[in-house]
Amino acid sequence: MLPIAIHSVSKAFVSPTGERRSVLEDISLDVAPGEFVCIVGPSGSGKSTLLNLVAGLDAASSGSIAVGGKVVTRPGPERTFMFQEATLFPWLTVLENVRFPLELLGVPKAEIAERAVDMLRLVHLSRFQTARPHELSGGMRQRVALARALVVRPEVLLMDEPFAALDAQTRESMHIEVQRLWMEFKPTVLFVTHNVREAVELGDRVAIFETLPGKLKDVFTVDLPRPRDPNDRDVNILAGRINRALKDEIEKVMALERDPDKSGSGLPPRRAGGHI
Amino acid sequence: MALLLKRVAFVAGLIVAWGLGTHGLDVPPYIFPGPIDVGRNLWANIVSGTLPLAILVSMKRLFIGYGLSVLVGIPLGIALGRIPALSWSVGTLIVGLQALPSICWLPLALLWFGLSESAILFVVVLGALMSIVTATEDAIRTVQPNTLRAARMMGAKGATLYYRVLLPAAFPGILTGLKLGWVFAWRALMAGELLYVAGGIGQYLHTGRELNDMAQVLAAMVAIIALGLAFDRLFLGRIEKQVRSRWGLDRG
Ligand SMILES: Nc1ncnc2c1ncn2[C@@H]1O[C@H](COP(=O)(O)OP(=O)(O)O)[C@@H](O)[C@H]1O
Ligand SMILES: [Mg+2]
Repeated sequence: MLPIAIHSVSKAFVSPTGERRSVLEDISLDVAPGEFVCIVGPSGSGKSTLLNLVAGLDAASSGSIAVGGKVVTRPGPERTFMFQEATLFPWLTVLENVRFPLELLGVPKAEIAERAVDMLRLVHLSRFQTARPHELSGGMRQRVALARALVVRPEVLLMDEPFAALDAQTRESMHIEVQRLWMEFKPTVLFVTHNVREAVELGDRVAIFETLPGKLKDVFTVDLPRPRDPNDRDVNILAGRINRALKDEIEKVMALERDPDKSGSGLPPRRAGGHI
Repeated sequence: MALLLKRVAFVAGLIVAWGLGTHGLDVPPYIFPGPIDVGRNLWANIVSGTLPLAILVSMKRLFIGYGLSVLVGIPLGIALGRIPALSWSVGTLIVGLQALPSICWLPLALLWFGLSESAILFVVVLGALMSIVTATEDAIRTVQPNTLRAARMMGAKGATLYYRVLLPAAFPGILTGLKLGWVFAWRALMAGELLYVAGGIGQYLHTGRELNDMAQVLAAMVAIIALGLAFDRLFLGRIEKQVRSRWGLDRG
């Protein structure tokens, strides 16, 4: 598995009116091969932006990102992405969705069939091969998305609040799945969430972002045995500590939402359709 | 099947009401003929071969004209949806042209192409083209950004991105444009055939008018409605239904 090296990365967006806004400032983070790192931070702190940069979907304004020593400039087959919505293709069946990335990679036909079916079995969806995405529940759709992300055996798995839209029970069962599959495939994971307990339950380390502009504030190491129970005392103690560290940041955002005029730069405008 | 029966019963009811209305109110047939007169005209012209031939001529024009506008409209719509520079230039022009009934082009078309098939095809193509282009452009532009990002992450680019992701994602929207385009093609064709007489159902209707034979005028109208309905039921409407249920667009 490959390491991720994020080195003094900054990112600014230029608005249509020509205004430059700094979203990420001087982020440096090294993720070891096979390590599971969670990123938590208030909304708008640039977590998704950073993930997009590692994915190669966008370019940093300065600094560099390397995966396995190779500088990232575009998407590559060794990195896969899982979004908050499942982003499955509605015109394909569940099985065809999982086959899709393998077909694009030019994997031999017989191998595609075998790997896709195996992967669906691993996420307990063998019975739903011929179903259409819209026939599945939200949790099942995210399982398919997880299968689609893992079927190419990625070195690096990027996850952007993949379970934020699920109900608590479904999310809990997804945590168990993710831990199991991560231990089986051992990809290097960058996992964005705004759920601190989720981060502590899943991560080897938890990175905290501060906002306006987005900066890396602190990194906590989660030195707890796996699999972890979200109700475990140590999990809760650490989550409490992280929450306290985040509190100032969240208050900063709240104050701005209450009275946007008080700040010099103002709260960034909400993007249409954007989530928190 | 029950639905089909209900539909047939509804149409039968309409015809009966029509008959009772014209008969009961004593409307003279030269003002508004009853279903029997119209039926008689339809039958006579079917048997003599006049109507089938007219339908054939119109259908040929329709399929060629509509086919051309599909072949041009979909690629053009995709280009407009993907290339901003085209969208604000050509796109604006097309939205403007959409407001113009395509029959307005007939004088120019006659000038350019003469009294030929091409002139009427030109009007039909322009009739369908605009709605196909705008619907395709819109469908391509409104493909979810995350669908595209997921596709790019999986390595889709170039032609693959178009064939395997963009087109299928936009397909339901494109289909709406195709349906609309079909209706506009029909209208353009009928207007063209009425104004520029050279075979087809439009001419059949026109002849009725010249002979003051309202039964024939109504017969032509009935034939047009029946053809339009049949095409929708048997072809575009059916595809649309399948696509909507497959894509999961019909829930709630
Ligand atoms: N493509 C973009 N163009 C302009 N601004 C953007 C773009 N993407 C994100 N931003 C802005 O960058 C900031 C960080 O966004 P994001 O990375 O989505 O935050 P998070 O995921 O932490 O909630 C937000 O203020 C957002 O409005
Ligand atoms: Mg985000």
